[in-house]
Parts: sequence; C-alpha cells; structure tokens
Amino acid sequence: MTECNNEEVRDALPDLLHGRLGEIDRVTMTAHVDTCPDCRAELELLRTLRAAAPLAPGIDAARVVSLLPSGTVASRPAPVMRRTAFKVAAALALVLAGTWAFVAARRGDNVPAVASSVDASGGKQAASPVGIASTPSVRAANPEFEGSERRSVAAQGSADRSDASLSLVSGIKDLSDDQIELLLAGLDEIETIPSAEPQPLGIGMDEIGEEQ
Amino acid sequence: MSSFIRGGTESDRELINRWLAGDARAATELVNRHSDALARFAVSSGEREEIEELVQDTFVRAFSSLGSFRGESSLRTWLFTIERRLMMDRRRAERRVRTTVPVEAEDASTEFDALDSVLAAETETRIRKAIDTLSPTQREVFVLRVEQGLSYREIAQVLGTSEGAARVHYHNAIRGVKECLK
Repeated sequence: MTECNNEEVRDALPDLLHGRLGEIDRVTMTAHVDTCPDCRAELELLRTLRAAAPLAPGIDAARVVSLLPSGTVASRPAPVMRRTAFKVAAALALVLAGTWAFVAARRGDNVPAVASSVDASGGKQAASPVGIASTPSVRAANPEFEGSERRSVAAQGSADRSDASLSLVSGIKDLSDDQIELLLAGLDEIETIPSAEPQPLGIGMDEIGEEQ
Repeated sequence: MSSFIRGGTESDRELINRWLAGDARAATELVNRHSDALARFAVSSGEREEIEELVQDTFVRAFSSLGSFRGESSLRTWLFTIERRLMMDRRRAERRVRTTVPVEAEDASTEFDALDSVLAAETETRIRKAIDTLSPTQREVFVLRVEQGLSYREIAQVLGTSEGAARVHYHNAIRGVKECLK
C-alpha cells in the first residue's frame, strides 16, 4: 500500500473516521479521499482496525457509583489553596523571626560577648557577635576561645542583671585603641537586619591562625 | 472545558457541577458515558484481568479530586490519563509474567457497521497480531487515535509527551501494522 504525500490529510483520517471534523473540514477531507486511492485505502484500513478492537467487559455503573465519594466532599477547597495558606503562614513566621532578631540586635544583647571575644583574641578578631564564640569547631581548635566563651557567658549574665550600656562602657574601657578600632570596623559590617544565611566558618579563622 | 459528547445532552462540565452540588444521578450519567471507553482502552492496552476493578479505581480516583479538575483537557482524556497510570502501577507491582495475551479472533468486537459482516476471522487475528508487534508506546498511541479517536493533543496529555511525538508514534504504528498485513 502506497502512502499519500499529503501528510496533513493522512493525519486527519482518524478524525474523519470518528466524525470529529467540523463541517468544512469534513467536506474537504471527503472530497480528497474520493479522488485519492491511497487515502481511500488507508481510511478503509483504519475502519477495519477499529472494528477489530477487542471486546471489553460491560461495567456495572451502579456498583461504580456506590463506591464514589460524595460530591459535596469532593468540592472541599483544593489542596493547592491549603498549601498556599501554609506558605503565607511560613513567610509571616520568617518575617516575625527576622524582626525579633533585629530588635534583639538593636538592644545590644550580643555586644558584651563581642567585647569579650576581642579581648581573648588579642584584638585582631573580626567582630562577629555570635558566630565565632558559639561554633563548636572553633572552640575545639582554639582553647582560648573556651575561656572567651565563659567570659562571654559571664558578660551576658551581667548584662542580664544590669543595664546593657553600663556593661558596654566597662568592657570598652579595658580595650586598647587598636582593639576598639577593630571592634568598630566589625560593627560597621553588621547588617541592620541579620542575614538568614549562616555565617561561614572561615570568618576570622585565618586571623586566628596568624595570631598563633 | 469541551464536552466529549456532542449533541443536546448535558456536557461533562455541567454534570460535574451537578454532582459537586450533591446530585448523585449526575455521577451515574458520567460513569455510563465513559466506562465503556475506559474498559476498551484497558483491553486494547493488553489488560485481561480485573478490568472492571481497574475502571472502578479510575472513577474513584477521578471523582475524589473532581473538585479541583480545571478542565484544561476533556474529562475523558483525564480519565484515560488516570487509568493509564493505574495500569502502569499494576504492571510494576506484578511479580509474574503479565497476562496480556494476544487477542484471539473470538474477542473481536462485532459492533459498528455492515463491514463487520465481511471480515474474516483470520483477518481479524492477523490485525491483532500486527498490533501486538508494536512497541508499548506505539500501541498506546494507536489505540487512542484509531480506536478511541483522540486528537494528538489529547494523546500527548494522556501519555505525558508532545503532540509532535504522538504524531510520529502514530505514523510509525500505522506503518508497522501495514507491514505486518502485507
């Protein structure tokens, strides 16, 4: 059996077979098939193939319907809407957490820990308020930081008991000019809103190594 | 969403809305309208056992999420998609050789028009054997295009492929069947 060169017509032969063509297309297609032996033969083949389809068992519609959920149950808000609500709630929680962290930073809760860390490192420590002192690997590699951490905890405790500004003043009083400059440079680098990204371990590690 | 059934009857979308509003008779109408096509698709795809259960599961899954059915495809296309996935799950779960045997002549449908009366049983057997030589994807495309009359766009939606790929698979399938029938 040879094939007609008109691929568009051959593509549409099953549509003609199933009556899915609009009136104009149906008339056009029928006119072509009437004059094209190849398409006529292929349409006949498709009709035969369709007729040779295997017999399928009958389906008990009543039984199927009895297994279906209630229509009113299936019309509940789509899961997509619940997921969207969850995402909005999660976003709000993040905003609130960020706001709380900003307020805490503005209150200066971390300043005593920074001052103590600078003191322990000899003044060349980059001022990262919480990250260095609290990193377990840093503490393990640098015993002097354990001491600074204890001092940080103590400083934190005194900050809790007394006015934060007094603790800050007493801490700075003991610092050298170089240490104060370093502290101020570190404070300048602190973002107004704390970054959600974790502090890289590399901050200050090189400097710690140089000190040693 | 377009209705698969043309004519004066309610469209699939109208029946779905009625069912969502609590009218169980609309579900009966939808099941009656599409169950035979689902059963034929399963058998033509090679399934032989528990066809009714397969069709049941298809409707249960479909009606459980009918509230979120957006109508981007026709309802029948969507049902075929669900049923196809169930067939794939069933085949993956099977540990034994599939019972998808070639269709014998006595399985062939005797419906449709007067042409059936002149078809020899031997011809029908040859046709089914020719279809069995097709690859699984070619066979699916062939069944959906020739037996079910789906468009290439609808076939692409059922198979999760492109219209172009569906068109290529169809022409390869027809060519393969013609070769076997020579």
